[in-house]
This record gives sequence, structure tokens and C-alpha cells, in this order.
Amino acid sequence: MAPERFSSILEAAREGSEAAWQELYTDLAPVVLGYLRANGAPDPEDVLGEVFLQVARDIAGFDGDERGFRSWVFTIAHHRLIDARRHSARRPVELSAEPPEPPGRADDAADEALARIGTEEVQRVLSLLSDDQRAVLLLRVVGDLSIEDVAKAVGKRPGAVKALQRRGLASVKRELARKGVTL
Amino acid sequence: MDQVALFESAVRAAVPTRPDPRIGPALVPRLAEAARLSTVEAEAGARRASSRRGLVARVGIAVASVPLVLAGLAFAGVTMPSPARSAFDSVGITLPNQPSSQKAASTTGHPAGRALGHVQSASPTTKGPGGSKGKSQAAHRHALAQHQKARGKALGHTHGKAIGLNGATPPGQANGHAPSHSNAGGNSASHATTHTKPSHPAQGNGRGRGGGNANGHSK
Repeated sequence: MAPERFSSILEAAREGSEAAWQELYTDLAPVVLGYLRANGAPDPEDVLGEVFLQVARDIAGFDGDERGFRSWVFTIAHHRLIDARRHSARRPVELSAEPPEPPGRADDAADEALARIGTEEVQRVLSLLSDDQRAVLLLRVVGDLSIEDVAKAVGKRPGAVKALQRRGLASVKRELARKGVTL
Repeated sequence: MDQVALFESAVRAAVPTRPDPRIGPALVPRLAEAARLSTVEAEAGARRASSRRGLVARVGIAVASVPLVLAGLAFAGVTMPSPARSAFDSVGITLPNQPSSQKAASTTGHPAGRALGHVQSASPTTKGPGGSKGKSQAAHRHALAQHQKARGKALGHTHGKAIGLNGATPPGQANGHAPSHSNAGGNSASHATTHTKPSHPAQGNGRGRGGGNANGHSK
């Protein structure tokens, strides 16, 4: 989205334009919901609604570009996720039975590999990670945030985020190698 | 593609990201309403904050202008009340055109306003600060007179003592003041015949006038 267009949408959203909110929701709700679901949020759609309501309540004080807005929304989502976890017992990651959307960037080899890494395998590997490692990896992969943005979202220093990402990826590699998922 | 990139692709593919289609239509109007309310509240808060800042600024300007107004009035020749002048004096500023400020500062060292304002209007006998100054001058003169008087007494007393004491010799033996010391000489003469001790100065050497007179009287 062009910066000027995002600024106009943000201004319209501040003034209460439903069209602007529809656009923001359509753009961000899927990735936020994916982050919440992959982190095992209890009742992720409810948490998604709370996240967007919080965004709407605080949008008058937001100042930044599209990347900053995305990072800000994921920060709120992360905090809401922690709150939701506190209010309910932790559950294992439950991925929906919905058929996965094919990744647009994957080539034939990747498709073949992805076929070998099924949804259950992804769920199992994610469940082996610590909460922080999983949050960092999902914010990087699903949220498409930078190290600095992830650090702001989870309230840690960038060095700590890098270490969490490195350890998380090492665990993922180890598990995939153990299962023989290689190319 | 390495294992990590493969896993990332698998995560993107496996994580369902399609929200319930019923959520959006119900949520979006609420989001718009909440944003509108929040923006209105934020603007109201900003207005309140700016009005508070404006009020503080106006009060500050009013407070800061008080000394300027006082100074301007003083330049215009208005006599300031003593609290105002003392306030300026406390910070080392002397207001101009204030009556008797120089006099008070040079003579009494009192605050200029009090001393000078009353000196011109009050006589030495009146009560009040000016009267007290007249009293103090009269008291000063009285004190000087007393001091002079006391000094004279002291001198006379000192001289009297000096006359009596500075001679260091008995009257009858000193300087041959016969009339005033004749009794003393007579006494000494009457005793001269009986006092035969050579150690007595009047009789021993016979060189002093007192001794001579004593001898003559003894005849």
C-alpha cells in the first residue's frame, strides 16, 4: 500500500469511516488471527475482536507509517494473547482443519517439501518450542515483522529476540532432521 | 530451500488465516464507532490541555507584569507603598522617584520608604518613626552633654587626686608651704625634741626645709 494511501486510510479510520476500517480489517485480520491461532490462543476469534477494538480505541494516539501500524497491531495482539492465556488454561496448538492455502512463492520443490511437512507436523514442532520462541518465530514468519518490531511487540531487546529466534530455529531444524524432512 | 525456509513456508501454509466471515460485518461498525469516540475524546482532552496551558500562561503573564507595573508607576513618580519598595529592595532594586530614599539610605540605613517619608512630615516631638528620630537626636544631644559633664568631673577629680597624690610627700615636708603646713611643722617640731632617731628624714639630715623649720620651731 502506498504511504499516501495508507495515511488517508488511517485518517479516515480515525474519523470513524467504516470503509477505512473494513480495509484495515481485511488487510490485518488474517495474519493477526493466524498469529493468535498458531500461538494456541483460547478462542482466537474473540481475541481478534478484542485486538481490533483496542486498536480502534487507541488509534487517535497512533502516529506512524504502515509498517509501524502493523507492528503496533501485533504488539496489541501479543499482549491480548498473554491476557487470554492468563484467563484460561494453556491448550496445545490447535490448527484448524481448514485446508491450507497454497503459498504463492513456493516452487515445485517447495510444494513437494510442504507436502511432507503436514499441518500436524507443523503443530507438533511448534508445540515443542517455548512460548517466547514460538511468539518470536510466528511474529517473524506470520506477522512478517523485523527483529526490532518483534522486540517491541514482545517487550524484549533485539539481541534477546535474535537469540530466541536462533534457538527456536535450531529446535525446528533438529526436529525436521530427526523426522527426515530434508530436501 | 533449506529446512528453515521450508518450515516457514509450511507454517504460512498450515496456519489458517481466514477469519469467520460473520465477524467482519459485525465488528467493523463497532470499530468505526469506537475510533470516532476515541478521536472526539482525544480532541476534547487536547482542548482541555491547551486551555489549561493558556490559563497557566495568562496567570504567569499577570504575575510577571506586577513588578513591571510597579516599576512603571515608580518611574512615573508615584510613591509606592513600603511593602512594594521593600520587596524591590530585597532583590537589590531601588525604585526611582521615591521620596527620601537617598536620605534614608545615607543616614539611618533604615528602609528608605519608612524613614524618609516621615522625616519630612514629622517633628522631633511627634510620635512615630519621624518622632523617634527627633527623640533620638535630642537624646543624642543630651547624651553628649552628659558626656561632657561627666568628662569634666572626671578631669577635676583626676586633678584633685593628682594634686594630692602626685606630691608623694607629706604636706609639712614639701616645698615649705609654711602657713598651710605650720601645724604639721609644729607638730613635727614638738616631736623633734623627743624623736632623736637619726633615721627620721626630718631630723636626720636637717637639709629639708621642713626639717629646718622644724628645728627652728623647736627652739
